[in-house]
Amino acid sequence: MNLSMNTVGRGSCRAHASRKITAPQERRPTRFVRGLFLALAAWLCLFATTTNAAPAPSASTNSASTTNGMLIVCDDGVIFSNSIPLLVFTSNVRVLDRQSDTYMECDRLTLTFQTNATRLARTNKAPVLDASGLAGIAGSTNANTRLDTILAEGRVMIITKDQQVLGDRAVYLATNDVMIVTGEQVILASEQGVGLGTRVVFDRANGVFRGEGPFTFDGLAKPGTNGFGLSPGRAASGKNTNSPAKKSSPPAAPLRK
Amino acid sequence: MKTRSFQWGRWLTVAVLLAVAMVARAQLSQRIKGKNFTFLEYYEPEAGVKSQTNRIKNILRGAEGQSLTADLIRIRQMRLENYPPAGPGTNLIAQSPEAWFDKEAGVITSTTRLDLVTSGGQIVMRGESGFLYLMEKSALIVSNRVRTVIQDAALKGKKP
Repeated sequence: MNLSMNTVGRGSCRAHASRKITAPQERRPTRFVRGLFLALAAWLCLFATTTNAAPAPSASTNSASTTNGMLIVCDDGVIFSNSIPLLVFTSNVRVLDRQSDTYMECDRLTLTFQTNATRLARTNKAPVLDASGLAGIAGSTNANTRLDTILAEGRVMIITKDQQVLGDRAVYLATNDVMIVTGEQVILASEQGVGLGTRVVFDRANGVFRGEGPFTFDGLAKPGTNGFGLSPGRAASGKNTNSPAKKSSPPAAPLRK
Repeated sequence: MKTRSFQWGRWLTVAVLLAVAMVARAQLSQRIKGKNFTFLEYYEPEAGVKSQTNRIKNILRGAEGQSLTADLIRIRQMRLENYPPAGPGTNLIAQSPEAWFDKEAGVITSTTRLDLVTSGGQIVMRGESGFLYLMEKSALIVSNRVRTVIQDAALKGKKP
């Protein structure tokens, strides 16, 4: 529906007499303006992609903030060595593992990485020799670095959603995806009670701790277990271990009507 | 007699001018600024290897380089790339707004921020209080308040 109308004028207003006043809804951008907008938008997109396309890998931490990996913060310095691929963090090291929702603190953290040589040795394949015939040098590139071990030393504390472990030393093995916490007294605390031993294994994939070797506990436990995934018979096999079955609450008797 | 003394005076003047020019040139060379600074370091050749082409070990770049002393160079917008002796890729890429490079000792130091990427982006590190890099050993010591992110691929053993 065309809502245009002619204005009626006289004298000097005659020039405006033939002007058409269109309704606001009829004021649409012309093809030229739309084309201009499209060209501008396309240019902006192109400009944005070309400016963001930094040479990979670029030294930018923006992309790292959204990762699901491991975040490590320390107060003192970090030593990074290429010849022996390792990273050493010192003083008040804090680690946040976002995959398993685990938080860890320690005094010193050492990360070692697999080289091509160690990887080939583990897969029983012949190492690739370089021009000089030195397999070690040929395999020392860490362009495809994978984590091998993590060693946490000094006042180790690991916290998960519902469990907490205190120990002296923790070793993470990437091949098994487990972390073994050791020490003179390793304390494992959860809602089910508190356990004490010398060795606790943390299954990173499942986020579960379990005690190994001589292990005692105090607290509520599920019938048949000591609350930490350790069967009473296994714990009782330890030399200096209190029998968990004696301290745990007895299994509830079935109700009879 | 007069001409002989005049000749001596002339030679003395020339000698003084030469000395002044040499000192000025030395001082001038110590304050030289240059854009697009680049320094290359190569791996040492292996003994007994025929026709080995030395690979690049370190590339040090900067938007601007200023020589403070004979061996000390101040670099702005520094970018350091360390390459492995064999194989593709870089070991690390480090960037800093400002750094000092000691050519004689092969040491790069800084007191400012450091952004580091290693292992094809699997490990990203940022230090806020400076760093020390030993070029010969390819060892980097990042100073206090360091924040590191390790990607999942490095933890799970996946290829990047």
